[in-house]
Amino acid sequence: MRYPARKGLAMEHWVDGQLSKAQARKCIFAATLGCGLEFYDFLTFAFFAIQIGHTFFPSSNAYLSLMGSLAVFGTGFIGRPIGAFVLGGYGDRVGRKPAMMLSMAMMGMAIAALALTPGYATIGIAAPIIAVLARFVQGFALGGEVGSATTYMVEAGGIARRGRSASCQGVCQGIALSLGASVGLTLSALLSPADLTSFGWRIAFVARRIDCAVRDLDAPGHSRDQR
Amino acid sequence: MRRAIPETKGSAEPKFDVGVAGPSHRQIVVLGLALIGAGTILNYVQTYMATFGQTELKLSTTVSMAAQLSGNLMIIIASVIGGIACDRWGRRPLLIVPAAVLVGSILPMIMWVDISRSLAGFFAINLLLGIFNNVCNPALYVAIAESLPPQGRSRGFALIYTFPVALLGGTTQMFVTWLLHVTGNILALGWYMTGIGAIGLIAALLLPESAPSKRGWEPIVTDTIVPAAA
Repeated sequence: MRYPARKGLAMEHWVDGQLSKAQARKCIFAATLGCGLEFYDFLTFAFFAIQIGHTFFPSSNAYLSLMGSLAVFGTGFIGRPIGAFVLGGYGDRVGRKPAMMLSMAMMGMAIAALALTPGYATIGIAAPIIAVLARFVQGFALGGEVGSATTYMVEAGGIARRGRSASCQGVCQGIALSLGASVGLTLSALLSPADLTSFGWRIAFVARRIDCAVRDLDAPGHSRDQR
Repeated sequence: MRRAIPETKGSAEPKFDVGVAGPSHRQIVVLGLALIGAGTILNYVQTYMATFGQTELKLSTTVSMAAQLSGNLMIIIASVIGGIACDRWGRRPLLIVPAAVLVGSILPMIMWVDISRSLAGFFAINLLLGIFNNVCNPALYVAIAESLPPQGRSRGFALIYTFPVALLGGTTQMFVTWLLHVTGNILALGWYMTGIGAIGLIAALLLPESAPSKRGWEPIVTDTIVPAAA
């Protein structure tokens, strides 16, 4: 079978060994969902930078507290290229799927660590250290996620439909941006500034974990023995 | 949910006719970095525009929020259209045309906003950036991914994507703030965006077509796909 250049490739040109359209759709949906959740986590942190700064950084000075928080934000950016190299390489060596699973697990752990760690007032210097480490792991996971998830989408979609499947990357970022901003604004509207600083921002992270757990159980075609 | 999906490493790859060259390794790395970098900068400048709207045009939080949410919606719509279009017409047109539109229209639009200080101008420029800076993304992602060999694709894509984003993501807003502080004129922002757009346009023009449907191909199966939940 040979496909000439400059001829529109339709769906009937399906290739042996590729996923069926329904399979591909399901796979791309799963990859998109995971990717969106990771972006949500990363953005929620940016949204609550001030509150997180107050919680983890020992400063009565709001400015220094914000700077500390921004340093943590920066650590997330440093983690990204390192994660891209390490987890991207893992995706090439072992597989796209294990790399996606690993980056999701790392992101989950980092978020849990951040959401559950007591503030500086309770555990002292350990608080900012854990915050910086968690942020590094988060950036590391996101850096690896983009490579393995986009590669996965492009490969799963089928040769003639690569553009369509890659567009899910943009869709997931758009949804994550909106969701992150909505959750942030809702919490800001409902809670007093003091409550927002003491526990409000943690809700934004925990909400995502519950949401994720529910989706995992509801996933179609995902029976118990498949786990 | 991801546990139930199959692996795609080693899935079918097209084998290209001899003589129909796609982007070389060096081309995809250098031009890919330039294109992702240009897109990142324009993206962050657009984010900055929201701040500009609030401070300069005295927009209410609700209006700013509406602008932001409609911008996000635009990312989604533009991505879907861009994805379908680049499967149909190839990657090159989707990279070149939006960049050309941006280069040609940003400066007049910024001038309009500067003179009129109108809400319509603010929304128009947000719409322009939202559409034309995102409609090219699927084509760009696919062009980079499919031009890299499968055995180095995951890491290669991750690095080409992440380096410009990590480097420029944090610095662009600071630079834009500094630029506006020094010049005191929003037109400087227009020139800056036009320059960045021009770099993206040149990179797009230099990048060869990578879409299998435009190069002529025959499928080869490099390995069988691991069945679901194996």
